[in-house]
Formats: sequence, structure tokens, C-alpha cells
Amino acid sequence: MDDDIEEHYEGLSEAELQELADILALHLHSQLGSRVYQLNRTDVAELLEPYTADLLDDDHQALPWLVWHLFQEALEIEMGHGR
Amino acid sequence: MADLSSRYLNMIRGQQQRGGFQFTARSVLPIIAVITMCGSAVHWWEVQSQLTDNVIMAVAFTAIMVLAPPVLVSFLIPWSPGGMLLQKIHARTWGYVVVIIAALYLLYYSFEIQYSWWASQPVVADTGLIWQQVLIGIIGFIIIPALLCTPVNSEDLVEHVKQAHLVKRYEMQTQADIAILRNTLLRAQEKALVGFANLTAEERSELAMTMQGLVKGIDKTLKEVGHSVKTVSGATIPFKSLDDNEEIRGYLDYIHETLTYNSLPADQAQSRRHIAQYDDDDPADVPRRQRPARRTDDAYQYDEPVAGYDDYDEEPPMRSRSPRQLRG
Repeated sequence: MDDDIEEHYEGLSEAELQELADILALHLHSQLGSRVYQLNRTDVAELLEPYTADLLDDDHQALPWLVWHLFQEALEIEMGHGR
Repeated sequence: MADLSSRYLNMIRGQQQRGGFQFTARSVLPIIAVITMCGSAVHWWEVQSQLTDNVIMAVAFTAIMVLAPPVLVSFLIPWSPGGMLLQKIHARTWGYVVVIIAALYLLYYSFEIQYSWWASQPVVADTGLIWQQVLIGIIGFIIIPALLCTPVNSEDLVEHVKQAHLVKRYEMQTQADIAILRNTLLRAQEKALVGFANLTAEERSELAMTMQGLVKGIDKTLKEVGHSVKTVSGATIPFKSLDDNEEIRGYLDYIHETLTYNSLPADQAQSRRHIAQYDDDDPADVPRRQRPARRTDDAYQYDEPVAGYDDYDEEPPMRSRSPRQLRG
């Protein structure tokens, strides 16, 4: 069992990481609305902590970056500069 | 990359598209304008086709009456800060006067024709609603489409403002230069009357050249400003040289004559000295000539020592105060 867990936590693939960031961004946005655009990376990391605590360090550190990046993209879209 | 497939970003994009269109008065205005212009085309085609059998002329006049009044009236009723500024700039041009006249005539023509048309409608004539119908027609056919038209786009507006600024600067600089020049020349004129007699012929000649050079220098500056206006705007600003200005020319000639009057050939100066010597038979004349000259014609008397001068005890009046003597 423990071996299975160890295998599982070898790390998430890039696609998985992106999907998780997507889900977390949606979740935070639904909770905070447009205030998410004012969050800095540390704030995002703090808010994501309950959902990312069981991840490996690399993923744990990468997720706040990815989510924060998504917020910035969303802000650009809202300001009319988005793709 | 992954952004395009991001569900989160897709949701944001979806929100933007849903919330992007706001139902405002301005967004409805184009719809009304298109409808009224179509109605205008029908109305004017009916009128113009009755006025002539020539289809091309009727089409042309219909097009004129549908398009020209809104476009010209749009110059008269700006409703943006840029439009207001543009109107202010254009207000002083002949083109704007022409636009006003043409727009007013088209409004009058439109009013007359619509009045006649509605007056020929029995129901309207019977109910006395001709005026009301005509005014609604004017609003719908002309005013509303005019509100949609912007006389120029933002880039042109910036260009217009830049051009107006340059022309204003040119005008101000010209006036300032003329004022400075007039002041300088008048000051020089005063000094010429009093003190230039103490200068040598060469110095006076040099001073006259300096004055001419001053005017030419200002002319050059103005030409440069005019050229920069032309470069930016493409419009040629007619440049009137200061040297061509009759008044300035008069000042210059006067100063030139005043300063160079004494630059006579040596023999001529000698003969003048002899004449002065013969005039000195009456000693009472001498002190009068030694007073500062009020007429420039007398200035030559200070160039050379006055004959019989040493016979008088009176101190030399101006010669003694010349800078060269003070230095010496």
C-alpha cells in the first residue's frame, strides 16, 4: 500500500499539474470573484495550501505560480487585451 | 499553449463575451440611424424622381440629400471633447464657413421639401401636424445620422491640433519678433540722434550693417518656423519678409542714412570742413554747433574738429565724453 502511495507521489505530469491549477483557479475565483486578480503569489500559495499540502515539494511550489499566472491571464482578458 | 484549453480562462472569456455588449443609447443610435437613412432614401427618391425624368440625376440628388446633410451637420454639432476642440480650431477657417453655409442651405432645402410633401398629405394637412412631421423628419433624416458621424478620426484630430499649435506659435513668434525689432530700431533711432555722432565712419557703417543683419536674422527665424509648419501640415504659410514691411524698411533706411551719412569720401568731407570754416566768421555760431545735434544732418560737424574751436574757452561738449577719449 505504502509502495503504491510512493508511486503515486512521484510527481504530477505537466498536463495533470495544469488541470489541477485550472480547477483550483476556478475554485478560488468562484469564492473570491474578481478579487483574485489582486492576490500576489504568496497569497495564492497560502490559499492553496489546504489543497496542495499532500503534493511533492516541486508540485507544491509550482502550483501557486500556475494559478497566479492564470489569474493574470484572466485579468488581461477582462481588460480587453486577452487573446 | 495550455491557456487556450484552460477551463478557467474559457470561463472568463465566456463571461466577457456575455457581458461585453451593453445595451446603451449610443449602441441603439446606429440602428435608428440606419433605419432613418433608409427611410430618407425612399423619401428623397420619391421627391427627386418626380422632379426629373433623368434617373441618374434623380439618383445623384437622392444620394446628396441622404448623405450630405448629416455629414455637413456633423461638423456643426460635435459631441465629444475632441470634436469640440476641432470645431474651435476650424471655426477660424474659410472652409468651416463654407461648411456652415452649405449645411444651413441643405437644412433649409430639406425643410422646404418636407414641408411641401407633408402639406400635400391630406390627413396631416387637415390635422395641422405639418410642422411636427417636418421636424421629426429633420431629426430622423439629418440630426441622428449626423450624431453618428465623426468629422475626423483620432489621428487626424491630433494632426489638426498639432497644426493649429504650430500656426499659433508662428503667429506669436512673428508678432513678438516684430515688437522686439520695432523696439530695437526705435532705441537705435534715439541713439542715432544723440550719440552716434561720436562714432567713426567705419563704426557707424558697421552698426548700420548690424541693424540690417538683425532684421535678416529675424526673417530667417520666421522662415524656419514657416518651413516647419509646412513640413508638418503640408500647408504653405505665406511668409512676408520683415524687410518687405514698409514701416520696418523705413526705420532701417533711416538708421542706415543716419549712420552712414558721414562716411563721405575724404575730399567731400574736406570740402565740408572748409565750408564750416568759412561759416565760423560769426563766433556766435560755434557754441550752437557744439550742442548735441537734434538733426542728424548736423552730425557731420562732430566728425572733424570745428574750425576756430581752440579760440573758445568753452569745454568741448560731447567729443570729450566719447569712449575712445575716456580710454585714451
